[in-house]
Amino acid sequence: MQKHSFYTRLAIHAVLIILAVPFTMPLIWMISTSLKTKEQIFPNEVVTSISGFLAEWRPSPVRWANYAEGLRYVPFPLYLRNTLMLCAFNVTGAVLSSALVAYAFAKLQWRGRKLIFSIVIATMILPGQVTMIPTFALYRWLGWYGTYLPMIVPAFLGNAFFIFLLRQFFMTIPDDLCDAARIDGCSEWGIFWRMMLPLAKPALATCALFQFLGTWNDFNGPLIYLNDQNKYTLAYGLQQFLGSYGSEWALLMAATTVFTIPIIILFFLAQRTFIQGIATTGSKG
Amino acid sequence: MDAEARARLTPVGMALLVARIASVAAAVAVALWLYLGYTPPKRSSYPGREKVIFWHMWTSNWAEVINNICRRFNESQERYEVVPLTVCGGSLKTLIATAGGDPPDCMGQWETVIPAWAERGALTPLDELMEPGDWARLRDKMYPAVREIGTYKGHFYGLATGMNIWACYYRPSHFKEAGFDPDKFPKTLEELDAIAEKLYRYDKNNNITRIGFTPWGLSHWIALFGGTLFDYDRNELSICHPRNIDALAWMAGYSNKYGYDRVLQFQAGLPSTMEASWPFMSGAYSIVVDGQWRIQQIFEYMPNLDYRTAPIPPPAGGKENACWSNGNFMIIPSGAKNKKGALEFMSFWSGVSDPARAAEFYTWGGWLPITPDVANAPIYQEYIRKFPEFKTFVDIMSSPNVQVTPPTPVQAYLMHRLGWAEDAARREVMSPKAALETIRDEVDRELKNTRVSLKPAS
Repeated sequence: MQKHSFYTRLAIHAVLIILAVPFTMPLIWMISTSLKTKEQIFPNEVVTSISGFLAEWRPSPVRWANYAEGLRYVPFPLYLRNTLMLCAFNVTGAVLSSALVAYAFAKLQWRGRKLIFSIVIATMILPGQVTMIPTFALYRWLGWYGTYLPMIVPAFLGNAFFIFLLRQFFMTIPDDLCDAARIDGCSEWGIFWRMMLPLAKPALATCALFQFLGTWNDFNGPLIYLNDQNKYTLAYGLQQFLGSYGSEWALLMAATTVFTIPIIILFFLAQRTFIQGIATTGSKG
Repeated sequence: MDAEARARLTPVGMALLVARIASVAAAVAVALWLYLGYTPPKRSSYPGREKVIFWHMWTSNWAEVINNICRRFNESQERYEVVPLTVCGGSLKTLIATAGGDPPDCMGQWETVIPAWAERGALTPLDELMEPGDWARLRDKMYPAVREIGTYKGHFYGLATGMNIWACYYRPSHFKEAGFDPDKFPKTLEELDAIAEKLYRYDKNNNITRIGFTPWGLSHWIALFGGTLFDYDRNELSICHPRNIDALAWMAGYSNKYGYDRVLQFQAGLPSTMEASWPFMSGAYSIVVDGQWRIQQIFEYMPNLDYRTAPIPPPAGGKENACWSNGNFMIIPSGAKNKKGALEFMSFWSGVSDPARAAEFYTWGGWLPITPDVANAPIYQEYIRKFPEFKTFVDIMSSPNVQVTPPTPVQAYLMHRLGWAEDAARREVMSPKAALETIRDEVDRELKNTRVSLKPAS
């Protein structure tokens, strides 16, 4: 690959930083608001100058107490515990079940394989709103309403997108490897567990990350299925800051900043694995 | 040593490695504390009592007011314990919980849901829970608007715990500046129109820099003009009542005179209408129609603001002390496990059982009472002396000209389309009459789709 000179790299980085600034504005606004008082968030003067507009973004005075108050306003540790528990179950369930199904689609020969795979992919077209009512009726009939089960069990039944992602990855692994293992007496489960899964670590990490993010941010599940405050999750619990007649914006932004930090750290630490997983699933067609 | 290993040993590589280890260690420490060391707060303080699960949508400092009311109820008796919970997306969640078979025992509501939910069997008729005659006695004590707000097809579904009334807020300094006496607020709409014209301010490019007055909320003006959206004698909607058309025509006249786009352009530049940003406080409006809760907001954010309140003046031939009203009310979903406890809590809060005691709750929230007994209680009268401008709203409560949202299962749809008609007429997309006829047909279709009759079951 051609090596760029220092100044070329500097120019490229400068352009990318400028392009990235608009994307960071919501984050900066969130942190800025989290350090303001109510009067600063909703000033009663109309700002007409650019300097005034920029000054609005700077909290003055800085109110660090918003973070302590925000984390006490709702039982933040309880909601965090519930969220982490759900994330752990969902990540485990989604990754394992999707890998199993993807292996069957990629490496096993059986009648109707292509048709069933098409149907699985077709389910991605269905919006959640279409299936919301029948699934609610199903869980109610099963007696799962008010429990975590509607938010955990489906993760163990495969995720269409992850199945697709992992199938593509498994297809890049030569069949000769599997044949060699079979000749040596390895069972299909052994091939899957001891050969395919270790080789698929980047793709599995990608699926795990997506599932973690989805569960961490899930609002609809708790809204529909949870009635007990002791079971609330962070995403749903943060809504308690908002009201029709008055909202605690500063405290909400403080809690949201704390809510967002783990995701940002996770992404920075795992971004190489994440990008590698996305890239290698399609690179060898 | 390979390239990867060499990369790990550079300062940046070492820093990344340390960061990774520290993050993992921190995550493990937090997880261990959460699952082994953390004890969630207890939500119940009275073991052994019958629980009354109360859902509501108040948050922020309002939630503290609600918690205090619940605490007072729990301390006042020994049988029940009300357990309050702020529920996000409250209306949807309550409906889902009712359908799921696990609803709360009572819910604090302010959305237009009673007819729609009652029609679907999602609500418990409160009159059927009361002792015989209690409901009739309660109705007699209530203000006129309060009687109608929770009633649908002859049954009582929602007990109000605080009403909202709208009136004019105005700036005496603006009046003096324009040569008007601030002690003499207009008594008629015609006088208001004349004063408003003098209160508008413009810059050298003829852009608005201050709004004298601009009307909004067609439902308020329908009440003032003597129109009505619902004919209670015939139990049917009357969207195209002639006085409704007059009200919309008058509103459209303001847009025609001052320029719809010009006003919109000015309003778009204002911060927001929430709390401290309310444009009236900054002087962007000289006269504005708004609700009684603004008085506490002014006290909190701008206690030295010089302002007054007055009833919205009616047009010639209109109704005095009129406006549209809504309120907070309590409902009991069907399937609730502790309906008796819920009813007792609702009676405690609203002042049905003890108006003098409940009057204090109304002062905490700045709410308007549902009966004159509460309004006349010493503590409430003290509150009015503390906030003299609040008296305007209390006085309007007793007016027979205050109207509530029509008792139709398509209430929410009707109010939404009313907003569309107002916008269409003000933009001159269609005439006021055509706009109201359009939404009349739409609402009729929606009503037919829900396959209900508005007439009480015989």
